[in-house]
Parts: sequence; C-alpha cells; structure tokens
Amino acid sequence: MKKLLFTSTLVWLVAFCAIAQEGGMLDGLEDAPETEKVISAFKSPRVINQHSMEMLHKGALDFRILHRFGRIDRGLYDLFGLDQASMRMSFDYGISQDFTVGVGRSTRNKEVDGFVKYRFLSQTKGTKSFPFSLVWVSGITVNGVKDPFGPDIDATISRRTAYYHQAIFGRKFNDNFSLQLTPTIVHRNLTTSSVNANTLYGLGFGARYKVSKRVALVIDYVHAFNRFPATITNNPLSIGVDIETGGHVFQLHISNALGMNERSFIADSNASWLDGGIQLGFNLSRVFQIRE
Amino acid sequence: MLVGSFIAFESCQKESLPEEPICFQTDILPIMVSNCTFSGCHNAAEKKAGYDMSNYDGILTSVNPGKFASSKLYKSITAIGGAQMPQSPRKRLNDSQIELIARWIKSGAENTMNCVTNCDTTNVSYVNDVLPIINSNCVGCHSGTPPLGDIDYTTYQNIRSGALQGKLLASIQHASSASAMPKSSPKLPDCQINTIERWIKNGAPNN
Repeated sequence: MKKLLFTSTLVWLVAFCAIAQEGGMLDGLEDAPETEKVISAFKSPRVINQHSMEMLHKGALDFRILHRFGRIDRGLYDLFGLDQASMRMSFDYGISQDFTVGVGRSTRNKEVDGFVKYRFLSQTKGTKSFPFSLVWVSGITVNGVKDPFGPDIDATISRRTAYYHQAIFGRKFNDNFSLQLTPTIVHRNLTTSSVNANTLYGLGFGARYKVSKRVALVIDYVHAFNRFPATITNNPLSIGVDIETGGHVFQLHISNALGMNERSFIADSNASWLDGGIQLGFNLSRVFQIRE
Repeated sequence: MLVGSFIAFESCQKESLPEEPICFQTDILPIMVSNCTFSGCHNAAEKKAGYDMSNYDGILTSVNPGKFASSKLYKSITAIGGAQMPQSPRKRLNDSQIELIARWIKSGAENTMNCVTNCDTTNVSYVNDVLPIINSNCVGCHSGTPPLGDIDYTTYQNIRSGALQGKLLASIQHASSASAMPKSSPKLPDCQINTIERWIKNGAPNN
C-alpha cells in the first residue's frame, strides 16, 4: 500500500514539475494559442460501477439511481431476474471543476458510502497539451445491518467500515474512444473468513466507445489480485450501453457484480461470468445545475 | 491525496470473524471423496496424475500446509478452463467448500479426526444444516448430465422428493432397501444422519 501511494505521489510530482517547466518556457510569449481541456471522455462520472475520469461541473448535483437485478438464468418465472432488485441511491456534488464529493446508500447490507474525488491533472490539447487526466478517489463504506456479524460479535463502527483509494489514469484517444486504468486498494477492517485478505489490491479498466452522438458502449472490469476465491471469472466485469436523453444518462448493462460501491463489487463474492452468473442492471443519472 | 494517504495509514485494522476449528475427517475428506475419486480419476486404484484423493496422505501430497494460495489443491479447484478441478462437465466446488479447504490448509492441514461436535437437532434448517451435508457428500456424483443413478441432488425439489420417498434416509443409514451411500465410503457420522432424519420428520421444509 505504501508503495502504491508512493508511486502515485511520484507520478503526480513528476507530472507537476513538467507542467511548471512548460509554463515557465511559455511566459512572455505573445499570441500563444489557447490550451483547451479535453472534455466528455465518458458520458458520466461513472464508467458503470467504477468512478470514471469525468468530473461534475461546479455546482452540479448528480442524482443517481442504480438497480441490479437477479440472475438472468432464473428464467421466465422470475422474469430473467427482474423480480429481485437491489438498488443504490446517491447524490454527488461538484464543489469545483476538479473536486466532487458524494454520498450513497445501497439496499445490499444497508450500506452507506461516501467519497471525495479530486482531479490533479487534466488532459489538455493546444499549446500546453497534456496526454492524460489523473483523478484521485478516496471513499469509505459502512455496513448498516443490525448485528451483521451475529449476536456474539460486537458490531463496532470500525468493524462495519471499509475504505478504498484509487488513482484514475485516463485518456480520451479520439472523439469516440476513451480508456482509463485505475490502481485500487480496498481495505476491510473485518472480513468474514481468515482466508479472505483484509486489504485487496486491484487494477481497474474502463473504456468507452461512442457509437453515435447519444449512444456509447462501455466496459468496466476490476482485476483483483488477491480476492478469495482467486478465480478470474469472479472479478467484477460489466458491459453496457450509455444512452443520453437530454439531461439524463441511462446506463444499461449486464454484469456479474452484485454490489454498487467499491467495497461491495470488488470484495464481495460475485458469481462467475463463465457460469451464467450474470444479471441485468441499470444506472440512471440526472444532473441538476443548482449553483452557477 | 494527503487526506487520502492519512486515511489509508490510519485504517489498518485487520480482523476476521472467529471460526470453528475444521475437522479433516468430517469436513474435508467427504468433499474430496465425493468430488475427486470418480472412476478414472484420483481414486486409490487409479491415482490419475499420481494423486490419490481418497485418504489423508494422498491429499497431503497436493498441499503446502499453512499456505493455501500456493497449494496445488487450491490452485486446481479455483482454476478455469482445462486446469479446473473437478474437470468439466462437472461443476466446480461451491465457494463455501473452497473456503473450508483453504482454511484447512491455512490452519496447517492436519489430519483431525473423532472431532467432538455438539449434535443439536432441535432446530434443523435445510439451508444451514442439511444442504451442506448433501453438498459435501452427494452432489459430486448426483449432478451433471446424466447424474449417477439418475438422481440429481442439485435442487431443493429433487432432494425433497428423495427425502419424502424414503430413499435418501435408507441409503445413508445403509438400510437393505437402498444402495448404501456415500458409495464405497464409511457411513456418515451419526450426527449428520440424525440431522437429516429430523429434517425429514419435520416434513423436509425449505427453511
């Protein structure tokens, strides 16, 4: 964990120095062409489950309603899983162009989560072009179930709590294609079994391919290196379609992940996507501009 | 990032829920025998690839005691594709069986036997008490296409009908009216038989 933090700090510092130097060289030049931020790498601040490199505008409130249904292979009797729904509701707010905070609550584990998200570097084009964005996210989740660990274990706040930290390195390659890599750590203060590591290390992948002005294909995967059981097909993989409809972004997808916060979809025992353990889900995002 | 680092360094509490000790003879061996020792596989006579999974010494050759992640046994039951054990079309073990095996290896992979269990059959639950016994001892053979003896014990409906017809109990009690189960293995421990018997007397509910 120290190594990861050190590396990301180092990357940040090096990048920062590079920009500072570039700025110095350009001082005093007249008629310098403008530098533009590269925007709309993803349609929404989430790829599907994971945070994306995209930020909310200053003063924007993103109200998100997420649904995950039951296994598709339940068949017609359960309407392909639609009879079982679990949901997460959240409010994310853009304090500035580069700083977003959010809170949410999931029905699964009655879990409350919160995060802060800060963009250290923006991908830019023009004179001072910079190849990628770097966004840091730190979050916390708290299990809200009454006696979640049975009657004999004191359910302290600390035992209910987990944390996650991630650095999103993202780049919009062209108008249609964006890709991001996200080194992630998830730490759970308490696990249900001694063979389940408290701290999980993962590498997230997120990509978007725009099909038309309003429709994009998205893929979202986290490779967790020390999950239990260590089978690659149980890592959370989601594939979906983003549809933009004036003010709403509707993300429809299939996934093997049950959870809707980082602890839950990375650490919980997801079904295997080779084994038919997939379910439908959707994210609905409505952004309100509440302050200019 | 400073705040993030601070939270990260302050949050390193590490704990897991307390666990019952694992008994090799009643928890691990039945899973291995019912899932690995089919004809043509890792039984005492054939020892496919040199592994005999029908007894403690044989199983230990695939285990690195104390370290489950580097044990051949754990790698095989969590592998995908051609390396997966049990091999396709048999299904992989369920997560709780994999967890039991990993915990057993982590705790030293000892040959624990004659373990004392307090056998309480007052409130028998299908999900918590009966199903794990069936999963560990029967599903290895009684699943897949076609299941052995044309008996498929992968669904509650099928287990319930076997239970209410009397076949299930007769076979595990080694009564003369049915073929003795688990096949070519010792009888289940009395506690497990009593648990199943009590559940059937209660009407085999899905509780």
